[in-house]
Amino acid sequence: MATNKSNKKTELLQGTLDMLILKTLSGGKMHGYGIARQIQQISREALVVEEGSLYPALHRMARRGWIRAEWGLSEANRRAKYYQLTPTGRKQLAAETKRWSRFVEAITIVMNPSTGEA
Amino acid sequence: MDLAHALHRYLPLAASQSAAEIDAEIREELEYHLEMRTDDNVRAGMEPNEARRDAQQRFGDFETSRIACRKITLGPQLLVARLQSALVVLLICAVVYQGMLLLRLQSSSRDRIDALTQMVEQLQSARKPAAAEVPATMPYLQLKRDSPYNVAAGEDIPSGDDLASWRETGNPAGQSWSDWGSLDESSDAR
Repeated sequence: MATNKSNKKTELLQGTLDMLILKTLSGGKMHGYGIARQIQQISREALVVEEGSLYPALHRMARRGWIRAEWGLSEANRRAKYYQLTPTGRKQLAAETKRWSRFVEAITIVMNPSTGEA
Repeated sequence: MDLAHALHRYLPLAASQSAAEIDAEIREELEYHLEMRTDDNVRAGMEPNEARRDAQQRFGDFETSRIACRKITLGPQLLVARLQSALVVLLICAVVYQGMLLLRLQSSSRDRIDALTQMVEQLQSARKPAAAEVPATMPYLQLKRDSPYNVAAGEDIPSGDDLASWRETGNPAGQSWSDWGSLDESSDAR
C-alpha cells in the first residue's frame, strides 16, 4: 500500500528542502513534526519528505542562524522544540525564492522554447 | 550572529549545555516526532503497532538522523574540545618533562657543590702549615732577624716586672720605643 502511494509522490529536489522549511516557518513558529505535516498537506501529499532528513536540515539552518529554536509546550501539552525564522532567515528565504523563480523560468523556457521567444 | 551564539559555537567550554544534554534533547525531539505521527495514524484508524511501524517507515533511520543532528550541533564544539584536550595533555607532558629536567639538574648541581666543597677543604688543609711558617706581621713593625728585641714565635711579650727586667737585659740602653731604629743600627755595628 505504501509503495503504491509513494509512486505518485515526488521526491524533493536537492537543495529545495531548506527553501520549503523557510517558507513554512514564515507563517509562524512550528515544531519539526508540524513542518513535515504542513509541507505534505499544502502540496496535497504530492511532496514526500523523508521525515528523518528534516531534522538535520533544521539543525543546520539553526547553526547558520536562519532559524531559532526554543522548547515549548505543544498543542498536546507536551514538551516540543519549536523553530522560528530569524531576520537572516527571512533574507535567505527571499534570496531562495528569487533563485527558485529564475530556475523555474529557465526550465520552462527549455521545455517550451516558443514561450521563451514570445 | 550575536555574541552568545558565536561563543556557543566556537567555545565549547562557554556553551551553556553539555554534550550529554544536547544528545538527550535531540533524542527527545526525534522521539516526539515519531509519537506524534503514531498518534495521528491511530486517530486515522490504524492499529497502534501498525501506526508505530508506519511512523518509523516515514521517518527513515532514526540513528542516522540522530547522529547527523549531533554532528551538526556539536561538530565544531567537539573539534575545539578535542583540540583543548590535546593541548592540556601536551601542557602536562611539558610540565612533567621540565620537572624531571629540574630534578636531574638539582642532583648534578649537588654533586658539583660537594666536589667543590671537598676541593676547598683540601686546599684549606694544605695551606695551614705554610701559614704557620710565615707569621703575619706588619712590615713596618718587623724587626731584623738578629735583633735582640725580637720575640720568637710563640714567646710571650713580657709585661709588668718582666717587662722591666726585659728592658734591662733586652733593652740595655733604656731608650724609648721611638729610638729602636737607632738601636738596630747600634746592634748592627756590634
